[in-house]
Amino acid sequence: MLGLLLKDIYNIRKQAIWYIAMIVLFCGISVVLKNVAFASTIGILVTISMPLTAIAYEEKDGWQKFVIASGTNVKTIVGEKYLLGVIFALISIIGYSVAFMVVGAEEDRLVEFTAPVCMQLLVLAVVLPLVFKFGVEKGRVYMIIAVVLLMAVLIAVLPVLGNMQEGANVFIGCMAAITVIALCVSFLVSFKIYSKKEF
Amino acid sequence: MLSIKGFTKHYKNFQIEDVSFEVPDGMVVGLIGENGAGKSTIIKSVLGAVRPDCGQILFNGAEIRKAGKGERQKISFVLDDTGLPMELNLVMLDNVLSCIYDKWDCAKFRSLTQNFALPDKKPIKEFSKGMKMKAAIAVALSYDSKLLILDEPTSGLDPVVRDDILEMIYNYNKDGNRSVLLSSHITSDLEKICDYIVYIHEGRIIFNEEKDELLNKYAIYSIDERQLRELEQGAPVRVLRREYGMEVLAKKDKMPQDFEYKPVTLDDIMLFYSKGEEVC
Repeated sequence: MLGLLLKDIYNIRKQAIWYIAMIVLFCGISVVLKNVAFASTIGILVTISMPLTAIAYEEKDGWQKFVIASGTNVKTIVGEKYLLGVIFALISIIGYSVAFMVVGAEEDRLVEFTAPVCMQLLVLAVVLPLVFKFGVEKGRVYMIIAVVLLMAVLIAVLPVLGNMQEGANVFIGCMAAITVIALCVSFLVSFKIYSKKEF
Repeated sequence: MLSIKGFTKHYKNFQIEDVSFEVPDGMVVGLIGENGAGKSTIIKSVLGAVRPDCGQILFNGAEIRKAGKGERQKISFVLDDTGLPMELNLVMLDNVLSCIYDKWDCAKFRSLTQNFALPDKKPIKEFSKGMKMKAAIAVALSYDSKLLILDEPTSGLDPVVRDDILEMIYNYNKDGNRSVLLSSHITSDLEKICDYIVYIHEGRIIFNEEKDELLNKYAIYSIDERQLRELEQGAPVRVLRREYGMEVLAKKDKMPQDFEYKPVTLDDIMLFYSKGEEVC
């Protein structure tokens, strides 16, 4: 796993710097405009773009053949892409948290904070199996559709969530549970897809 | 060492049917055939990147598809496109592969890349084709393997680099404990180092023979139609009819002793089988 992760970080290091710069920029915009939607949106984009870019390099280089031939377990190969997505999700969450705190976080707005965080991991859970199945070229189309749909949901739901007072903890718990379950199911689906692939 | 039994794979427009051959311990086996004959599919199946529809692939007597990481890493390989991450330089590659391979030898990798005069800090994507192939060979030789598989390693390279690569293969195999499976359509390379030749044509094995025996067995004869008709049955194998005359690939021991012949090369055999007519 460490070798695969290291390879991806080396491969996407230039893009990663750009995306981290974009996280900083969007968080700055969020602070200036007092609207955390910018910081949460860039989080979604970064979380899926990084694994996708890494897979695109693998497809171009023929690495998938190489790594299978090296005897690396399919679970490790697939799991590493989820880990990569989660790592970049965490980086963007740091930026989002800072923006959220500066803009004005209050205890009763925890739902508003949690929803976009879960959303970006849910997008990862939806997009990765599609990319493993169809490849990056076709997968990007599905990715754009998934991102647009989820962003629309996010924009529509955020104000409602912001005002949610009762049952907030239950809602957060449900969101977190759904996210974890979605990631687990997504991993199993990706594993099945990858196991059947030929290179 | 490696045994392929009844390998069958069907694609939409192409199929490989019932391919069986072995790579004995300490031997170099050359897999020849035209582009698209099925060589790469067979190699990818051995490496686990393609699943056969039928048949078995055994490595040291055990089914390779059930082999664990340790057993799989006893097979080193050089792919036609190398498969290496092109954005990385060799230092990064060393760091990555030392985490992937249980028996990765960093010192050996550095020594090999230095011997090949490969730059450490330059991304692999900026290497020439020959340098990329040398980097892939350095990777393949930097962990403790028993079988080396190379898919078209000399394709598109100049004669000097090709010779360097053949020398590396020879050095890998010279102690007699390690085997090599090498696919190529540059048959002159295979003639230099192979012990056995397996010829695949349109997804089927045409022959699987010891190289020297094979080259001694056949010869090329320039004869006419009347002479062809009078030949012993089974002597002529393939006929190539050209504007300037007719050439026949035939078994030397069944041909009349007074007929003049030209020694055969693997290229000739491939040419006769792919373009020539079968003699009934």
